[in-house]
Formats: sequence, structure tokens, C-alpha cells
Amino acid sequence: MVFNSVDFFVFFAIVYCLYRTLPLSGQNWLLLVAGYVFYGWWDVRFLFLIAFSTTVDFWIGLLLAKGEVPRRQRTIASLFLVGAAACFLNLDWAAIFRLQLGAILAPNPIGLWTLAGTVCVVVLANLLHGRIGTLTPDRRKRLLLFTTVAVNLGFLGVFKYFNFFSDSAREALTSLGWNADLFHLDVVLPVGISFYTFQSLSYTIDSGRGLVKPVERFWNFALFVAFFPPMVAGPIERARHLLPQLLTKRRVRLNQSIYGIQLILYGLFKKVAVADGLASSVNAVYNSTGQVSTSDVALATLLFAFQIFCDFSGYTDIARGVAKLLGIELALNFDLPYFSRNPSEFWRRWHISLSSWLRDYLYIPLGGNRKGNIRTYVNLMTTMTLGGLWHGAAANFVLWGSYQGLLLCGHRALTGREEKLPSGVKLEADAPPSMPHRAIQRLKSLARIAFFFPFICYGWLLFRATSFDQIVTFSSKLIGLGPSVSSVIPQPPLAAILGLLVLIGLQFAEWIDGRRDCYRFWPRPVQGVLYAVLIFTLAMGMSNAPAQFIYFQF
Amino acid sequence: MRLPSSSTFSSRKKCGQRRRAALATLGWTLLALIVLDLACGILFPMPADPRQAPGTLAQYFNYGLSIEGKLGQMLQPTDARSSPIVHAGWIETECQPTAQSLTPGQTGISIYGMSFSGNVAAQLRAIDPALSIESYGGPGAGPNHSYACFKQVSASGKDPNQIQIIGILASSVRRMLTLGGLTTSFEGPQPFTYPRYHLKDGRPVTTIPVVRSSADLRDPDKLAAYFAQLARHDAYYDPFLVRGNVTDHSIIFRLIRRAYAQAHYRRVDAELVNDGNDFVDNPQIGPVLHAMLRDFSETARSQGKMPMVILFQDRNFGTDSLYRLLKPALDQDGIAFVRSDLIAPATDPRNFIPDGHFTPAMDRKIAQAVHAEIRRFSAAR
Repeated sequence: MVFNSVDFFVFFAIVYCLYRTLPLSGQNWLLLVAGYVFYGWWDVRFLFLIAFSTTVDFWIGLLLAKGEVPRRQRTIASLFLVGAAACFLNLDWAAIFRLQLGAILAPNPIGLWTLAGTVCVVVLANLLHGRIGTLTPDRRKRLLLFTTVAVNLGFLGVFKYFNFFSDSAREALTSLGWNADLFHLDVVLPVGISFYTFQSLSYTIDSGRGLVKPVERFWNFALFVAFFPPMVAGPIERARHLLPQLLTKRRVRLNQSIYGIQLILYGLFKKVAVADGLASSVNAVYNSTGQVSTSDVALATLLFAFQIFCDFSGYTDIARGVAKLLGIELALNFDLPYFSRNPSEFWRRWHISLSSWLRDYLYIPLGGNRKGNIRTYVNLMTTMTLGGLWHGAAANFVLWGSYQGLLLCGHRALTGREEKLPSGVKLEADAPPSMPHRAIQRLKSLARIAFFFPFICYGWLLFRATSFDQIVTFSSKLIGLGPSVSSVIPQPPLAAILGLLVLIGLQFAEWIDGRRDCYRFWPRPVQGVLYAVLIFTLAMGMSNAPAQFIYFQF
Repeated sequence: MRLPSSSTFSSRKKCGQRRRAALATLGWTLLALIVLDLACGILFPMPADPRQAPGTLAQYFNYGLSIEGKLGQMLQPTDARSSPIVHAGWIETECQPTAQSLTPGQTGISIYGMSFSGNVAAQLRAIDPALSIESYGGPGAGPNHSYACFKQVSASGKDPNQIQIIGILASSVRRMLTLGGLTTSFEGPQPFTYPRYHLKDGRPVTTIPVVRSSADLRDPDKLAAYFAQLARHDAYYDPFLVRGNVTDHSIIFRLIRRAYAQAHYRRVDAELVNDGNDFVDNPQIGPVLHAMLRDFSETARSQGKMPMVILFQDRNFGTDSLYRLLKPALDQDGIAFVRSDLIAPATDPRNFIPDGHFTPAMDRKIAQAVHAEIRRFSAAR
């Protein structure tokens, strides 16, 4: 289910009405079921992955912190996982909606094998439970952390990276003259798998570090993984931020709800009016099989910079807005990223929840900047390259990650400053970036922003490119090589042009004002005009061909 | 009586203030929306005379008007005062051969189709001025219009042309599921009508539209009967898009209707016609089109004429989907054809002008390919 669909708004209206009438425990049950419905809307079979990840990490979290899982919780988790394998993989859920009750049972070889495997895993886990408790704390911790990383990254490996590495290996072998016929998996990539996997993984690692109190009830942990607003495209929530909100009584405040609605409107505007509108122009160049001109590449890349920002931050705004209506605050994911003056600052403002995750669970464990200059550069390159690979199993994402690593290393080498990736969770209460007070400083800031922005855009070229050949061709076009041809890029729709102007205006206003989402503090008539313009532009943009959120594929 | 404590009282007061503030903002938003709506309507009106071209923004805000509303704008008491689109493409009037006899040795060509085939006809004339070319078509006409037009021209017995060409446009194949040009192009509906064909015993059978001329459109009874017929026989018919109502007066509602129309077309296209890459397996399309082409080739050959097809693969319907849809029929019936996708791939935007037509250079290349086929035929005679 996507946020910019009628289905979602009907779904959320039902959830919200029920939510407001229920006590806390009822609200949590409702949110858990809603999370599974929301995610299962794409494909019910994907729910088994979530169920597996949830069960494994729940066990490991408790084993890490307490050395045991209470029998009752073990039973619930075991039955849930077996039930998930039986129901999500061996039933035809469409038959239920078609009211063909006789056709509900739909066992299939993969489903039955998975069910049998799940039963074996569950039996084995229960048998080994006592043995794990007898291990020394150090050995137990190592074993459990290895298991959680192996299971979670194993899912990512199978569904996201297996074919990439298999195909790359085959190409390499073929170029060496060996005709290798390597295995190719015919699987569909579950939407948002990287997001909920990283969220769940952060819980177990933090449990092992003693940074988070383990969840003692299985259903509470299941809700943490399946809380639907950030489920498929973030922000990647940390257990110590989200869990306390899910487990304590919530009060939905009027101000919070109003802010939530404002964010939903702003997010829809960004996604529907701007991002989807710009997509047609960007695709015309990047999907073209013919020649394109230098101005096409430059303009399409610039438009893609705004498209991806509006697409991704639009999703985050809607997720944050929906969560606010439920009385829950999500982490910030974007903080005026295009007002960054250098690569280090960019990564403190763009996809903050991922960059802070990479810092806390990859860069710091690798040694961060504590082991000398050379090692720091290696760590930066490793972190950013793996961050690029997190986005997708394709050479261009690896290149993009490496490019970001190079920018960070270059910036460190040239300025001698330590590269600061964000740590922990960034919240609304944290001060946003803002324009310096002194005029000369403002000009300096603007000049540095203008200088660094093309570097960001070139990164988006690497990110958006459809092949390595295209990266080479487009890069050479940008530096003026290649034959001169006429432009082919179509003009974006009116809604996107108007929307882009409004967006840039709002971003500048926030930067100048220094208050987050500063339009909320404007006089009411001015706010009214702004919301009317957003609604009007949104209505104009609704006829853009809807495109899936770019980050769903990650 | 117990009074609330001061903190509760102040909290309630604060809450009340916030509620009032929220309502005030909502009020300002609604007021601003109404002003925006009215302002756009007043500042960007459609010209009263439908023969005048509207401004870009006037046209933009008019896109979402209901089809009935647009029909009202373009239709005036006489054809002369109406929009030119009103009298374009009617089979009864447009598919009449001019009965020009050919000089000995001259090659005559009849081309049926839409603007794409008209452009190729124009290029053919430029390539070989000795050709006698008659072009029949309607705006964005689908295969059923071209087929009906061919049937009428060939039945008249007044067409001396030896080459009979039908142009089929990938984006117009959807029109096989309709009875006219009103319902498939919501933003710029075309009033002309044409039959819809179904298969019976392998032969195409016809559903004739109630409205068959621009004069019929001015007859309220016929128009109502036509809408009722569309509701039964037109896969793209949706009353929310076709029938006018009070929301026609609001720009915002028009924008919403336009968005709804886009979603409606995407859904019907994906379910019944083409998923963006390939034509779907629909018995109302593939087999009917095959039967029409078979009848076209048999009729032409029975009159000693050469049947030929031009496959125009335009954008958003796949790379060579039209060829793959029709290849079995073309091979089976031995119909000569030219494929645009080999000459001007739909994936290369440089082959197209902004309105979606091929560039003149591509039209010329396609015309050259058609000309080569014609010369091969002439040489074989």
C-alpha cells in the first residue's frame, strides 16, 4: 500500500477511527494488525520475512540481555512463526477476498518446504535454548550477534544481492574465458526490506551493547518491527527512540495532530506534484536509447536531484505526519540537505537515519577515526561504499557510495577537519541549520552551498544511471566531450514547475528563519494561502503519472 | 458546584484557543482555495468562439471539464461556427473517394488512418510527385475507424487506387473498444464516431453508433441515446467523466476530474489493452484486429489491389508491441508492412516532437520505407 493512494487513505481512516476509541493495549494490537495489512498489501508472502526477522531478533534480544527467553514468550514466538509460514505461504489470500472459501488452501512446494524448514528451526531453537544459556556471556554474545547479523543480512543477501554477485561473477569468469553457468534466483525483491532489516538489527546490536532494555513481550517487539508508517522507506527507527513510545500510554495532542496533517499535506505535495511531475523529464533522458545533449544531461540530473529529494523526503514527511496523528514521534530524516556546504554536512542532513546507522554500527566498530589517518580514510571509504550497496545491488550504487566516500576523504584531507557522521537519532527539537546572522557570513555560506551543490548533483547522476556505459557517456557529455546534438528533454508539467518554485521558496524560508517547518509560525491568513496553494498544486499534480517511491526498491 | 482547578482550567483554555486557531487556519485555507478557484476561472477563460485557439493556461484549466461540457463548448448551431474538430473524421462524409482516374502507368494509393498516416502520405507526395495519393482519416483514429472507412470506400467502387494502406497506431488500438473519439481522449475529446467490431464465426460484426454526423450531435434525443449506447458498448465510458454537472464550474474539481480520468485510462489500458510494455491478451482486440486485417487483405486482393499496413509504434506502449501483436496475422495473410519501431524507436525521444508525433525526418524515413514496398509491388506487376 502506498501513501499516495486512495487505498491508503481509506485504510488509515479506518485505523485512525478505531485507534482513537481503544485503550493502549487495543491500540497496539490494532497497529500490529495494521502493519501486517499495510505490508501484506503488496504481497502476503513478504510477511513471512518480517515474521522470521521479528522472531529471531526477539529471541536474540532477550538472550543477549537476560540469557533466556521465558517459556511463555518462546511458545508464542514459535507458534507465531510456524503459523506465519503456514498462513502467509500456503494460503491463497485473494480467495478470501473473493469469498471463495473452498480455494483458500493453496499449498505449494516452496511454501511446504519453508513450513517444514521453519518447524525444524523452531524445534532446534527450543532444544538449543537451554544450551545457549549455559555458555559464557562472551561466547554467548558473539554467537548471538553472529546469528542476528547472519539471519538479517542473509535475507538481504538472498533477496537483494545474490543475483548481483552471481551475475557479476559470471561476467568476470566469462571475461577470463570460462563459460560459467552460475545459479540465478528468480525472486521478487520485497519492498523496503533494507529498512526494516536495519531497524530490527539495530535493536539486537543495541541489546548486546546494553543500550536498550530488551522487550519482554513478543507482541510488543512484533509491533516495533511492523509499525507501518516508517516500515518501507524509513526513517530507520532506533529501538531506544521508538519502543518507549510504543510501550507507554500515548496522548494525541491537538498541536501534534495539526502538525501531522501539515506534514502529510507537504509530503503529498512533494511527492505527487513535484517528484512525479519531474520524473517524466528525467526518465526521458535517462531511459533514452538515443543520443542526448549536454544540456539534457545537466538539466535531467538537476531535476533528478529535486525529484529524489521530494520523493524520499515526501515519504518521510507523510510517515512522520501519520505517526503524529497516532501520537508517535519519528526521527528526522532530512534537514535541508541541499543547503550543505560540504560532504560531511550533507551526510548529517540527508537520510540521517541511515548515515547515523552506518556510523554507529559500521564506521565506529571499524575504528572510526581512532586508528590513524590511513585507517580513517579506509573506514570512510568502506562505510560509504557499503552504504551505496545498501541502496541496491548494482554497480552504479557502489560507485555512488565510493564517490561519497571520496568526497568525505577529500574534504578531510583538504580541510583537516574530522568527518562527523550523525550519531543516534535526530529529532525535531534539535536545532535546524540556519542562515548565519552576519551578512558576510551569509554570502560565504551561500557561495559554499553553490560550490558544493554540483558535487551532490554529480552523485545523483551516478545514482540514477541505468548502466556503467551511461555513466561514462553522460560524464563525458558534462565535460563537453561527444558530438553535439539537439535537446530532447520534455518540459516538466506545470504542477511540477509551480511546485518546485514553492518548494525552493519554503526551503529558503526555513533556512533564513532558522525554525523547523517555519511556515507553521506564520500569520494564519498567510498559512491559509500557503496551504491553499499546496492543495491547488497537489490537485494539479494528481494527473501526473504516479511513480513508485524511489526508495521502495531499497 | 466544584470549579475546575486553575491548571485544568488553563489547560482547557489553551486547548480551546488552539482549536479556535486551527479552525481559523482551516477557514483561511478554504477562503484562499475559493479565491484561487474563482481567480483561475476568471483570469483564464476559454474563448467564447470555439474556432479561436485558447491560451495555454485556459486550455490547461479546461482539461478537467466533463466531456459533455467540452462538447457544449465546441458545438455551435452550425458546423461553420463550431470548432473544426466537430466536423473531422466522420465516416459518412470523410470516407468518400474523389473518383480521380489514374493516368496510364500511374500508381494510386489510398491511405487510411490518423495524423501519423497523413504525415507519411504528405512525405510520400514529396518523395514521388508522380504518385496519386488519397488520404482518409480521423483524429487519432483507431483500426476500426480505418477499417470502416476502407469498407465504405471500397464498397463505393469509385476508388481506382491499386495500393491500399491502413496505418495502425499503437496508442489508438484502445479505440477498438469504443464507438467514437469522445471517451478515449478526455482532455481533447473528438466527437466523430465509428463502429465497434466483435467476432462472430471468425468474421467481424458491427455495432453502429447512434450518432453518425455532427448534425446528430445537436439532436438532444440522439445524443442521450448515444451516451446510453456508450455506457453499454464503450470500455472507456465513465459517467463521472462524460456527464456534465455542477462541478464543471470549479477549477479544483476539474483538476480532480482530470486526475481521475488519467487513473481511469491507466486502469482500463492496463486491464484491457496494453500494460505499457505489451498488449494484453484480450479477445476483443487481437483476434478482432486479425479478422479485420484478413478481411481488408481479402477485399483488396479481390479487387486486384495490394493491401499494406504501416505499424506506428508511438511512445508509452512498449518498444515493438504492435508488431508482436500483429505479426501472426500479417505473416498468415501475407500482408506487406512497414514497422516504425525499426526506423524510429519509441524509446528515443529525439524521434518525436513534443505533441507525440514523429519528427518530419522520421516521417520521411517511414515514407521512404513505404515507397520501397510500393516500388517492389509495382515492379512485380
